[in-house]
Amino acid sequence: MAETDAEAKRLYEKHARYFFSRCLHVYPGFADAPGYRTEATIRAGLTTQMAGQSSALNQAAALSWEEMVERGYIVAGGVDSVIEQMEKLARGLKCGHLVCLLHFGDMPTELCRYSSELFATRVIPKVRNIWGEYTDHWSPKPMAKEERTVPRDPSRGAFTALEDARPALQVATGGR
Amino acid sequence: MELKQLMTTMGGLTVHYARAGHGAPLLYLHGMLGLTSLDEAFVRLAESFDVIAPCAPGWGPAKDDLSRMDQGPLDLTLHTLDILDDLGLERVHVAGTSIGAWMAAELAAIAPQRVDRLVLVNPVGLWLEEAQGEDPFAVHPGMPSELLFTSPEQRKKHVFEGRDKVDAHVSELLDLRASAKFLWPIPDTGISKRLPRIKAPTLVVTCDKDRVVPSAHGPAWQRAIRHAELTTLSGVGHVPEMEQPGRLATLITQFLVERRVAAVA
Repeated sequence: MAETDAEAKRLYEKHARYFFSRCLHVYPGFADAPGYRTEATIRAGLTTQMAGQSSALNQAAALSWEEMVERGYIVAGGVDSVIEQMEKLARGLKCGHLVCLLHFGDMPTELCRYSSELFATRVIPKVRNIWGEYTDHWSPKPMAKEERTVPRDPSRGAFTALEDARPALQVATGGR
Repeated sequence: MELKQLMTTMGGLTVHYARAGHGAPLLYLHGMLGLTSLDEAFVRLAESFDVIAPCAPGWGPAKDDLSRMDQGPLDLTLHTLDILDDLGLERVHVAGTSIGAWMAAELAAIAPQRVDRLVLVNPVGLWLEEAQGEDPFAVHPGMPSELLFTSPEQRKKHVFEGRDKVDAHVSELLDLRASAKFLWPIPDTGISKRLPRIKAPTLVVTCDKDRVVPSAHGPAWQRAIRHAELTTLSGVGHVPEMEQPGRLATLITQFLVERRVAAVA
């Protein structure tokens, strides 16, 4: 994320390129142990290959920055276009929970922090309510207070912890 | 090669097998790529023997029977005995290549009275710390059996020539899947402790360009088997039955007939 699309390209293109061309490498011998795929899957994969298509992620390495964004390999750009891309994703996929990986490739810490902060302060408020009329059943919520375990006092040491567990152990072994 | 069919009385499995020739019965057990391209070696052997070459459960037309076999040698060996019983063959010569040589050795160890003479070509199944072969299952998915051949061109010729490209590639992968069931991840089948049970006069053949079973495995097999000769084929890899069928057939024939061969063929 940056203030403008041009600035985003200047800041992030080389890190995206590093990710697609270097971080997705798998030693071919580990790619497909025999017996891992069914015959139908093997056949479907071969037919796709022969038709000249490929779904491989590292195909993105050969694309221009604009194509990477356009085809959805990454979400990136200025504030307004990221909001637009996020909205398109949420509505297009009909999903209310998006997991974002804000760091990729060899992006330095400071740059990632800058990007994350822009995302948190300028994008999230604009997309949070895309599905506002629906009840969110799925976001993790804190446990009720009475259900939480109280952390053990570490100063009491390990043997005391065993003493605490003894009544439960006696129940489990029928008192022996 | 035309395949016949029989259903085993005890195991209830359909066996697809080739059979041709006259003479002493010779059971031929195929390698990791099934009966693919066995044609020439089969024809040559059939000049001197009554050759029976079954497709093992899991390979080729028997691909769906893989789940009927346990990983160890017992189910495979019982299945082979079923075939002999149903064909009315009490005692046979047995020759096998690669994983088929392992199955042949198991048969000769578990049922020594059924095996007359035994030929093991590039047998897998021993693990030698000091002579480790390359892993035939950690391979590029686009050319999975390349390691077995001396060159990429040899693989193309033997796997694809005259066949539909997709079908050939799929069966190549399925045949390796079957092999992997018994050999993955470490091709140590535990046969080393059963080898002393083999009574049949045995010929062990290794190939100096074999990357899966290094030639150094030859002496280990020879030492463990009571009456074993060892010979090495030069200039060929893990699949001599495909790359040099004539030479291999001559060698097998010579041993089965005369019980002896030259140390280097």
